[in-house]
Amino acid sequence: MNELLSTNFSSDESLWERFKTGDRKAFEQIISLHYASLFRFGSRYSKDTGLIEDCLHDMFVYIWERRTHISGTDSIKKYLLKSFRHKILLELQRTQRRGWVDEDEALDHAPEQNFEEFVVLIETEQLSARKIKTLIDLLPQRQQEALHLRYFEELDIDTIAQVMSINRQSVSNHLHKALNFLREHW
Amino acid sequence: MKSFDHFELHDFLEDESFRSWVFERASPSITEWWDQFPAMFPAKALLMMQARETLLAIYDEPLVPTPASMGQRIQQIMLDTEPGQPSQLSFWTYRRASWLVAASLVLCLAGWFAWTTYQDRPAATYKKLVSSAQLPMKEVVNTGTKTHLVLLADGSSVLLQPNSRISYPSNFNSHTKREVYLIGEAFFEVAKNPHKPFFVYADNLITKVLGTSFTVRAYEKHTVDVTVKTGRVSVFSRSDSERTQKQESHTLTGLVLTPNQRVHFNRDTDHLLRTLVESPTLLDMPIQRSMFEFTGAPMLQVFSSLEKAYGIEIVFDSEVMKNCYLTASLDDEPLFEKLHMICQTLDAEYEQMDGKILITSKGCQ
Repeated sequence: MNELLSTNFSSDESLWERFKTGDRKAFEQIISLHYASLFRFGSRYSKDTGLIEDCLHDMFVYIWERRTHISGTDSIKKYLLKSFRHKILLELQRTQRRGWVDEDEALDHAPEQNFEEFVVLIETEQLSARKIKTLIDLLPQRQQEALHLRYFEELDIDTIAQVMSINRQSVSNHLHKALNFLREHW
Repeated sequence: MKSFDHFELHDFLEDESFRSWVFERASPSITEWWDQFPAMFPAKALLMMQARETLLAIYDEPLVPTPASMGQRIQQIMLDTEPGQPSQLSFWTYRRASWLVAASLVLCLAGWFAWTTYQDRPAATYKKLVSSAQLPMKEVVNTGTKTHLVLLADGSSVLLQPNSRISYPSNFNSHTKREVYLIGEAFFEVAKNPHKPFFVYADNLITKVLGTSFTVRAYEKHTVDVTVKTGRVSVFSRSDSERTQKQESHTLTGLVLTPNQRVHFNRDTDHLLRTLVESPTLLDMPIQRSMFEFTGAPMLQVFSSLEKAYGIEIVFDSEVMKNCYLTASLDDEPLFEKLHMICQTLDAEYEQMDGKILITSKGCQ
């Protein structure tokens, strides 16, 4: 659970710099350190093992090829999470395995489902995991993602902001709105 | 004691010890404390349970890579980023590959193929197939500008074209099938062995041969072409419902290609089109045009034609062999079989060293 957080930040900068100068060992170390946790992270977005592996492969090959153009980072983990999320969302979008992955803010609305039906369903049910699951599924995807990253992956707000390429305030807003929605409807 | 009077949903979720309790990774003392929470703070019990349900609803069984597959994938990344390699990302832009096999078609079977929609990219297909291979695999990547000769353990030879890669088992012996995986283009000369059919997997197509020579080309955009030079091959799709039966059969079934015919597969329309090779002499690779017909030919001519066709250097003593002449008709044998036949005729020996072929001969009378 906490492996995503266990990166030693102080050594990150020098490891990254070595990688940027073309140090193969540093590159391999970076992959080995982060592969498993990135894979796990990727399974939030797709359950297709092959797709996750391919995206990881491509992302690592890509950053190797772009290494001289990549900026420095204080946290390799953050950098990789962000790149990987971007890659996997693009790939999902391209292959249209999931429709919601559009980066467009326009998708920040609840899915076009029959909301009334859900409300009836929810009101007739007792407190249950199923009810709350139903409610969470009604949330806009970005709110769901923020909830997941904050309370399941246990990333801090800064990291979530960077990973999702939005500012801190937006992350807080997503979380706030999501929790308000849950409070209002159960 | 912490006050929970003003605790809200948000506060529960933000509490790390609470999360560790919900996800069952808390210490015994923390577990006990949260277990007793509803009794201690009845006013917050419902909210606490709601917070717990919320976390459980967020919970998502994560996938974890097996150490073996992880090691393999990391190795692959390192391999694909080795200095001097062309961008392996470009494999992703190959997308739909095409096969070129100079072949002729004996049977015309329509509606025989059950082509599914091809969403997989050749590179992804290649990777999946290679990683699922049961035998230890070797991989050769041709990043240069010249044809690269690959010699397989069963005596077959492969001329791998630039921007192509092939994976093959380091040893076929333990298996009833000979299976290789290709991206790009290659010319195959398959050592004859009806008991061990030879399969080339490229993109979503499988080419099965019992001993023949043909070209597979798999890097164009939306089409797949297959052409056979000599012998016969059968072609079918990985998604073919009768595929297993076709693979297991010791004869060639299905769509069979013979010399100077070509199969053209369009991935987008799922159409398989059979055509003649308009002008066999215009085939891309020298070896596809080579006939190796020798009548009293001096060795210099014989070896230089082999050198040209296979892109490999053949070293021999032209002074010693100046009286040697060859009359032979060689065609789709793999390089080593050709050399073997030549050497038998001339009472000479050959060996492979440093990517060259060395011919040892005592000369001819």
